[in-house]
Amino acid sequence: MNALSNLFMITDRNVSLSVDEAIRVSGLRVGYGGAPVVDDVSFGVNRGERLAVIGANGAGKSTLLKGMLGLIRPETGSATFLDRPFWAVRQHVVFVAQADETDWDFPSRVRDLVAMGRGVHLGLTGRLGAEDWRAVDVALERLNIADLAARPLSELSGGQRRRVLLARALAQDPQIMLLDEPFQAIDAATREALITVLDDFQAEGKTALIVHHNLGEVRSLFDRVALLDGTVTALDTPDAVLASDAFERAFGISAR
Amino acid sequence: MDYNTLIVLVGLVSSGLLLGSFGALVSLRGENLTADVAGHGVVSGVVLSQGVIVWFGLGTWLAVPVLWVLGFTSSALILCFIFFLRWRGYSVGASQALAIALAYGSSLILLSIVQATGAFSTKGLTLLLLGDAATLTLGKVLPALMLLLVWGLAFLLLRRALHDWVLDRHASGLAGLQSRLDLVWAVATVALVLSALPALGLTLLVGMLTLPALIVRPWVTSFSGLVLGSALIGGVVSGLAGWLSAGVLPLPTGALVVVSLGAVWALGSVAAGLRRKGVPAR
Repeated sequence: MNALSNLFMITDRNVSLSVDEAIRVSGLRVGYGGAPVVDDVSFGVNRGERLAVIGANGAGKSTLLKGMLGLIRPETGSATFLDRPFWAVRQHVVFVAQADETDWDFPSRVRDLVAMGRGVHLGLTGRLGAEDWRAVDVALERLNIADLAARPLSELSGGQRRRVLLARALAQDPQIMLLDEPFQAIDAATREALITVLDDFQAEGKTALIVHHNLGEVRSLFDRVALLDGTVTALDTPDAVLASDAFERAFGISAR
Repeated sequence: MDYNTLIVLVGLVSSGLLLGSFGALVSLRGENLTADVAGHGVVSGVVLSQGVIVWFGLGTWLAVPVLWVLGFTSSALILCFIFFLRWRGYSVGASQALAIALAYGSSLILLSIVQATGAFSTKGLTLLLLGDAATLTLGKVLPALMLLLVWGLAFLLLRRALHDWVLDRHASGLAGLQSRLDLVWAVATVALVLSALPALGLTLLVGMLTLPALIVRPWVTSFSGLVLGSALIGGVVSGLAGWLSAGVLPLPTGALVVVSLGAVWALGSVAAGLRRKGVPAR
């Protein structure tokens, strides 16, 4: 069904956006052919919540996100978004990977790359209209990169690239954002812009699931934290997770 | 200008427009070798078609359709082999190398069989590899003209989707574009190779796919500019080279086209370097 849905771009246009649980992962097992990297992962993310996924290197954080979206086929289990599989609600879910596959030497400009975010609403042959370009311009302004709109992609710095990719995600106007290490290797200005975006996103009742590496920030940035160590070993408020035995086992240190 | 020369020029210009514009996407996707694989994949089908026509005593009017069907099928099988290898985790380069080896091997075996029955001549093989624009007829040019029309309409309709699909495969896959455009791409590549073979031959095909985009890339900063500019360069240089070959320089047309493109690329590279402009094409 997933392959067919990709082929015919089937999405569910009658999705309810007012479900209580925006994301539900059930018994997910994901691997790369050998032993599973993550196994028996189950958790839910409430609508309007900002949940962090933390874990030691190699714990399977990125693999989990990719498995949830079907980028890596799960061996067992499932992940639903707004009570639907990803392929049925892709217009409402956006994923920003840690390592992007964008061709930054591509002959295009920032505004065109950000406009990619509107493509999921237009299908194969739809054209960008005034409303779409408005969404693009708003996204650029929210990331404070409106002045870069006409700049060729090849002339962007690393931090600018990061902001452009986030602007593309915002331009899609999603209900759910999955971000893999969005705060890694960014400057202070980008960090502040991203935090503002996430705050606004949450204020609009939208949901964010974020892989995060800076344990010192989880208390201030997130409502709940999921600790991943091959499976979810703790899921609670930041204070509770950081004080847990599971945290000490996962990181070999105590945060108490 | 006589009718035959006109047909040859139309064939060359349309092939140049097609290969130039299509080659821009091929280059942006870094799949120049895949197009080469598709080309080599066609050889088995073309060789087999020669045998089929002789063995079954088919009329010459069936030569082109049979060539298209078998060429298409053999190339599609080779491309499927690449997709299978990629699915199994082989790298892009390894998949292409293995597919070329399979294409070569199977075409040589088929060639031996077909030649043993006297159904395929050395001249036929030379034509396949090098093409001969001078022998172009309206029947051979029509597929390229039709494909040019279809491709032009497709580009107008799918320009945004093609832009996204080439720029970021990962994101376009999440948006649901990947599968459909991959399928269209595979079919288009094989159709393009088949339509361009009579004029240019297999050996020169990759040059025609690659050079126009290389020439244009340092001078443009837009996707449409690259595609249209590559088409223009491909069409103009092919037409000029064809005209020179017909009257002034008695040289093989296909080779003259590719050499001319190479010269334009060399001059353009120097000029772009002097201006310190643009991004070198990959």
